[in-house]
Amino acid sequence: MTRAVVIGAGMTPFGKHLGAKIGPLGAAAVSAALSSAGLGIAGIQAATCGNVLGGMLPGQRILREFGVSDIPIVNVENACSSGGTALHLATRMIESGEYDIVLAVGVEILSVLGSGVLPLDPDDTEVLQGINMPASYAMRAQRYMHEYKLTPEQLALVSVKSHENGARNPYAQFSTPWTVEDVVNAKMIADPLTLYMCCPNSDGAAAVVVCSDRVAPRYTTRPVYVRASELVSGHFRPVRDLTAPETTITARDKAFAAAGVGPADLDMIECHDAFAIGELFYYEIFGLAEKGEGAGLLTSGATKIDGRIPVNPSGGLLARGHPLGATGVAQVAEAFWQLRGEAEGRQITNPRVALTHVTGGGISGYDNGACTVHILTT
Amino acid sequence: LYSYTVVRVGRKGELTPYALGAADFPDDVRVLAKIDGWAPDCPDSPIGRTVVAGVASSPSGDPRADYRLVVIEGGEPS
Repeated sequence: MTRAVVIGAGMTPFGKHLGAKIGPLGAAAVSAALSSAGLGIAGIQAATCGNVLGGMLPGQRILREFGVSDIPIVNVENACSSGGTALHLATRMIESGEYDIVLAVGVEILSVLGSGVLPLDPDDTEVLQGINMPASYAMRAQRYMHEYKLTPEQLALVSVKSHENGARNPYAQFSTPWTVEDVVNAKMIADPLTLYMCCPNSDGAAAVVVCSDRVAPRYTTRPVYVRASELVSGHFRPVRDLTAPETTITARDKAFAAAGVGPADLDMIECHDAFAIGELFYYEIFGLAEKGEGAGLLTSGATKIDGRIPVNPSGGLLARGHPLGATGVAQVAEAFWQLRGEAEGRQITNPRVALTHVTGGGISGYDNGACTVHILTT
Repeated sequence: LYSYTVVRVGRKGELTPYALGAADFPDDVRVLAKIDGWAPDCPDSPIGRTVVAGVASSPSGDPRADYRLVVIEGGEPS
């Protein structure tokens, strides 16, 4: 079977790009990815684009900046998992043998919304009752705190670690480390989640160039292989364990099986820490800690950049930022740089296997509406 | 009560704070209930008070489809 290989990655700094437009912002990331790959735009045979709130044809608006026409461009909306889904499609396009070089780009401009919570489906049953994304994760956090005696200070440590990492990442939205006191005493959003336990609304773009293993040697001697690219939707279940995100569990199982690896093989993870409690869930789901012991792993230092299994060395969604459609691609860009030893001030030691994970939604009856997991190796 | 939160930041135009609670009932039924607050500076805001309530049967008879949350005061439903 043809295997997909990442040969280039690029992104814009995440943050507030006031007045930015989808086309130029996405094009900046694409230019960086092409440069990284040593490839011209003419080499791109197809493209996928993840975006949530940017309107029609974002991929075409980006590639118009290069004068690209005629090639297939697939635009993807899968909530926060849109970028991960765009990469999943690009990977499958390569693996099918139909294309040799596909561009996956993600872009989002959330500053147009101002501050506040993301708009969800106004007709959704739970949204009608007052659920929004912080509230959804707050209720998960409350249950976890009840069952496993997690304290607000322990929860704050997730954000403290993310911001330590973000301060070392030139692409991160936040470059200032925060203390536990800063995080705990920040404005309350939805108990127990304070503002600094919630990811920001971000603008930004990220892009990766994916090619077949057949042509990869033309462009690089340091390929990064996509060993697994899995996409799942949620399982409808009105009553569920809020501390065990089952959509991620399903995607994890499929990804580990596809890649032929397990938790002990992982050298780093970029996971969906849109809210601090999420990172603790995913420690446990990806096999780094037993159920209820995520905080112990965090306080041990094992998930710091110099720890046994670094998690979110980029700063994650909490510190690098979360421009919805770009996030899943940016995670893979981070994994690409880490695996190639190009992560500069936040480089972890000799990673060989990286896992990226992003969930999407906000829909009643499901813990998430979409989840993508990628496993990449040197 | 399975879980709860007090929402301080809602959708644009939505009055906050309000409380959300998820309560589990027999037969695999979970009810998500909202208790509205009013102006945050109002001393009579119900947020933070203990409210005794019951879940009444829904018009359709299927609690999965809809339900009514009935506040009980002085032992009598209101």
